Amino acid sequence: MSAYYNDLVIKRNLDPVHKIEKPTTYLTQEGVNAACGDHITLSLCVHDDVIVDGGFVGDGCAISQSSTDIIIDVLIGKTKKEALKLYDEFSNMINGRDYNKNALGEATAFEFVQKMRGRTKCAMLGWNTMKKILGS
Amino acid sequence: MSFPLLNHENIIYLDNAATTQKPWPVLEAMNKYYTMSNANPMRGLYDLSIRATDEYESARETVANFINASDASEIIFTRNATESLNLVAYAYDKSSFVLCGIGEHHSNLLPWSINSRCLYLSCEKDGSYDLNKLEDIFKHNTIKIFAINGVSNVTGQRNDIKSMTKLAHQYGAIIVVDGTQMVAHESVDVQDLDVDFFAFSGHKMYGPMGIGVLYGKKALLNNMPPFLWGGEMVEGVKLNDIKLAQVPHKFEAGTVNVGGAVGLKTAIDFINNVGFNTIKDIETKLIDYAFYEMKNMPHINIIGGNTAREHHGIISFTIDDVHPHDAAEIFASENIAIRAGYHCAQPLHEWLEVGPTLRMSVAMYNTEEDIRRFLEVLKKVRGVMAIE
Repeated sequence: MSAYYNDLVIKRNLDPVHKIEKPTTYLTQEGVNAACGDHITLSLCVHDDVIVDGGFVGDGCAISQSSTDIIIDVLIGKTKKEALKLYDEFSNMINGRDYNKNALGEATAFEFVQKMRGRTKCAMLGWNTMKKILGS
Repeated sequence: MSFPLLNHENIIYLDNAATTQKPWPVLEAMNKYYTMSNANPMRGLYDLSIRATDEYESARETVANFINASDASEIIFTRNATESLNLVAYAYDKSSFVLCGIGEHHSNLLPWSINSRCLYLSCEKDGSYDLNKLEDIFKHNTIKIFAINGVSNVTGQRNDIKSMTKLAHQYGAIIVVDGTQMVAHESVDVQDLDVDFFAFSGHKMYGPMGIGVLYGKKALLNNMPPFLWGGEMVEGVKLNDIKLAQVPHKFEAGTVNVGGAVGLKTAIDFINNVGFNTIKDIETKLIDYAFYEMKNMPHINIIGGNTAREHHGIISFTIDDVHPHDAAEIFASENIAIRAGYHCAQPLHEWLEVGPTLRMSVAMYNTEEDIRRFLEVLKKVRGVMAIE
């Protein structure tokens, strides 16, 4: 599958699990890749410093949408600090640096993006938006 | 044909509206210039500098002949079409009301919307403009500048520049034409069109990056202040008195791009040697082939005109249920270079109510086999994305 996307990416693009609008009480931020039109609105619910739920709506390429969907799986149950650490791990993976494979779980499905340098920002869109929510 | 990159790179290159590959003679001429004639032109009294000046001015002559300007001094060398258009937007009367085509590349839209009061001329669904609507706007507004492209970089739709120019002049406006998508595909006669300004880039017509052209009518250029200030654009400088150089040098501040001008001159010679009849013949056949095949394919939506002849070297399209970036990625992995996104014409996409699109664009070196491969991959994109 090195030439194209893997099955998980294809599947979660067509049948996302978390592409659901969430209550306005959730922490919400928009993420945009202006040049290509990828657009998401990511919502996270944080209780006692732990991410307990999340969802998103948006349009864009398969990588941006499936990546955001899978991120939410990975983030649920993590503390803010753990989530931000995972951001670094994912970024390392996408950019071809050493990373902790076990920590990222299903998000390792995007390892192939390190060979598609033009698509890094697609895979990072959900993560960058998460960072906007949690980082400040 | 002698395009070295295409010989050693295993690629089907269909992103020619973004930039073209360079033929050997262009590369050789630039190499020869830097090897044999390089010096700072215009200022040195030694032979080498005079040769560099001659090469530069000879390139200006070639460009003037290429678009049939009445005088070489009407040709200003810039970095690219973007800089040419910015030059006019900054140096021509900024208090003017500007009318700008909705289909413009950002380079012929943003300089106007930033600098002046701007109205937009909407296009039809096929990307063409209705001359009656244009006249209506001229009638009811005091438009002083009309900015429009010769050929759209998204739809490939060709505008009737001659009629548009007549209308603009009739209502007291000047016309500024972005000719970037024209010059590699058809001969242009600025005197016959009677346009006031005409801009294009060298790199989209087989020349190098970093050299562009602004043609302007002499009388207009003479009355405009400089765009950039510095060396070469002045005849004399005292602390309280600056005497500007004549056109075109008034608009060419700083050391100029002689190597680029030499490359552009050689690209023009190359185009002239092949001839626009041959170029048009090759490109029309390729677009006809691609267009009719695509038209008959399910789930493919072509942006713009409904006939192949309305697509001058360019076909933009979408594929149902597949984001253009995913499709372009699939093409890339099959070594086919096409473009995905808004192609620096986001307002046009918004107006046509389409999201980002895919764009394939041809040049003289493309072949039927290139199009056959492109169509073969196009057919399987939805399947690869597990749709259908």
